Amino acid sequence: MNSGIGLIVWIIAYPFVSFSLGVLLGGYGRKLTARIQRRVGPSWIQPFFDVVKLMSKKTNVSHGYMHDVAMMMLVGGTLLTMYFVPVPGFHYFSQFGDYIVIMYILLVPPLGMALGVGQTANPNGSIGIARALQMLAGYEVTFVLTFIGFAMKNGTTSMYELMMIQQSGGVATWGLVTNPLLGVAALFCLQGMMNEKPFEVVIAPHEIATGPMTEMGGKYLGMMFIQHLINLVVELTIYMNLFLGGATNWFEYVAKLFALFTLVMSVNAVYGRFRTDSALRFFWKLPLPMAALGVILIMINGI
Amino acid sequence: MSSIITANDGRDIMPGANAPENREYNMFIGPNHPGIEGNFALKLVVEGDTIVRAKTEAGFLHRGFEKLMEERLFIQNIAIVARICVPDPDPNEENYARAIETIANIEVPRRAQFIRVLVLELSRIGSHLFTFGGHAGTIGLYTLPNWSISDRDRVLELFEELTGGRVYHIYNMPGGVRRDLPSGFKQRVLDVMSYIEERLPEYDDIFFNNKILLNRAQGIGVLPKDKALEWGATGPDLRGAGFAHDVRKDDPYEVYGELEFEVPTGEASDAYSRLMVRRREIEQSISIVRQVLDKMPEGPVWNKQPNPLKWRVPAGDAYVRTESSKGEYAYYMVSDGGIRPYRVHVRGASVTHGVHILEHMLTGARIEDASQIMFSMDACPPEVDR
Repeated sequence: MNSGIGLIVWIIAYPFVSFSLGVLLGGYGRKLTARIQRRVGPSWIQPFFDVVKLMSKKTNVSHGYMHDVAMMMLVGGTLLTMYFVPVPGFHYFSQFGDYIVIMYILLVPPLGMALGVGQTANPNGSIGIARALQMLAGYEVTFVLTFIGFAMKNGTTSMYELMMIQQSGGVATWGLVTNPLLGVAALFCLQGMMNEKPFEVVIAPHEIATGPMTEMGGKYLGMMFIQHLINLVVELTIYMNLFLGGATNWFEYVAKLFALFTLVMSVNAVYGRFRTDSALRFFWKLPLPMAALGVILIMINGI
Repeated sequence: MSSIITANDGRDIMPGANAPENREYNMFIGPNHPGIEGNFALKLVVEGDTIVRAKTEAGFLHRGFEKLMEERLFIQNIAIVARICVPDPDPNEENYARAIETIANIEVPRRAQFIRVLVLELSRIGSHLFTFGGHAGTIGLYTLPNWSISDRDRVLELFEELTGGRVYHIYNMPGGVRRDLPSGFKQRVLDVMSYIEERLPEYDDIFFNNKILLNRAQGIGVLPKDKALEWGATGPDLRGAGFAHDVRKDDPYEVYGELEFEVPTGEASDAYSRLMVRRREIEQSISIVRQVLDKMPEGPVWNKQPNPLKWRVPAGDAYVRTESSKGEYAYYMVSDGGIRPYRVHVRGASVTHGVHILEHMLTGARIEDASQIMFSMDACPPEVDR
């Protein structure tokens, strides 16, 4: 599937596959949360209905050129990242870009959001963006450190190669097993990257009226929903590829995605949200030293 | 004041950029906002993340309750007073009925007094459960609202069975209560009390002992102890500051004097302290409900009054007070001997807590704490607008 017509089919179909997986994951997350909250919850494909509804709305208000372009950056950046993250049967673009490239591209959507929200000039949105950038200083630094440690140990920055190395010895060679400090630290970061509680400080409905989404309606909000759903798949896959051995087939891939998402959403359901400074302090007090210790151990012992 | 932007040679290239009017901005919270149980707005002047000034904006639920009562028959007002505080309407009903009874010297049957206490305590439990949900929502913990509000529904079902209404009961009449307990009702109340008692440890696990709540609520929204009395705080907000003032103990009404219960207090006088007072009050209310059901005598429940359409309450005035879940409620009623009250003044806890004290508390607080501080005061917007 990494050459010829198969490759072309993959390139065309992959966004739709990711979006569909994102819809199922999003629906599952809502259903799981509802069950923890003793509710029935919406349909499993409710996120799809939400997107269809929002995208079919007429746009009456645009805050300007940057407001529109930002949405392209938001969705485009996420789609681009998606291509560089290897999944079973499709890793063509991995040869052109390692994790460092992925890190770069991952910053495009937040940048797009910052530019678009800045154009709306809503204080709630601006505060939300400021919070998002602060949170980046919390989880991004730690996540990069975990990756550096893992890359140092395995002598490569290619996500595909790292995945292959982990698959060579079964569960025993998974990153989470061989480097638990890095794996657990990255797990905290995953919660932050996915903007789920206790690190859900960017949206914070009771504090800043949903922050960046405050001035977004109709198609703008629909684009944000699409980006969110694809992003779910991308971020979970990145963690899976780095610390859970990736996946050799789609059954394993989907099972791991849902298992990981179950963990994320379960924590999300039973915790409130940190204050921004507390969230930052948490990252710098626990996951960051964990990751740093993990890297030091690798430097000393090579483990 | 010097500018924050200067050229290399020190010239001020943006004069006044550091002036307060250029550093501060306005934020609006509400009026449709989960920081309070109704429509109520906050206008905040903010610098960075810190609230410099806060102004509350009420009036969205103004229906002129007090003036309206002067235009209606005594009996008609029973349907109005319940709407002064939606989550905890019964103290209003009881207060209004007791004010008339005091002026007209009407004796209330003992069984009715027990039933009134039962209703008041059930209402307190329901109101506190509602508040827990709201408070948890302000820190983003949405599981608890789903739990506590569905648990509150069990209390509302009891009310529906007893009074016919889930939220507004219109049950306390001058001279007693409108109807006796239905068959088997006592057991169903006991079952619900046991259920809520069993649920409280689960609430503790997910909410009251949750590290995020401790991190966010402790030391936030401190009501200075030396100001608590001066500013007129009452109820859980006052008790959270360490003052064991409770009208049920200090000026017992109905049959509260015959019941044993504690008055929970806090020390820190912060949002968490007030929340925990409410948490422990639920346990006390459950105990009171059990005692009431155990001690309730047989007998009539209503000292029937004359034709309500022509009923004249003798001239006089009365000041009665009740301990509601929000704080001290008091009704001052004046009758000129007519078929309508001459004046009914409602002294609720919400103007004090939700307007005057809240504005003080929010000054210097951070934006992310505004909703939580607001909910920790547990004010009732319709009562502010009465």
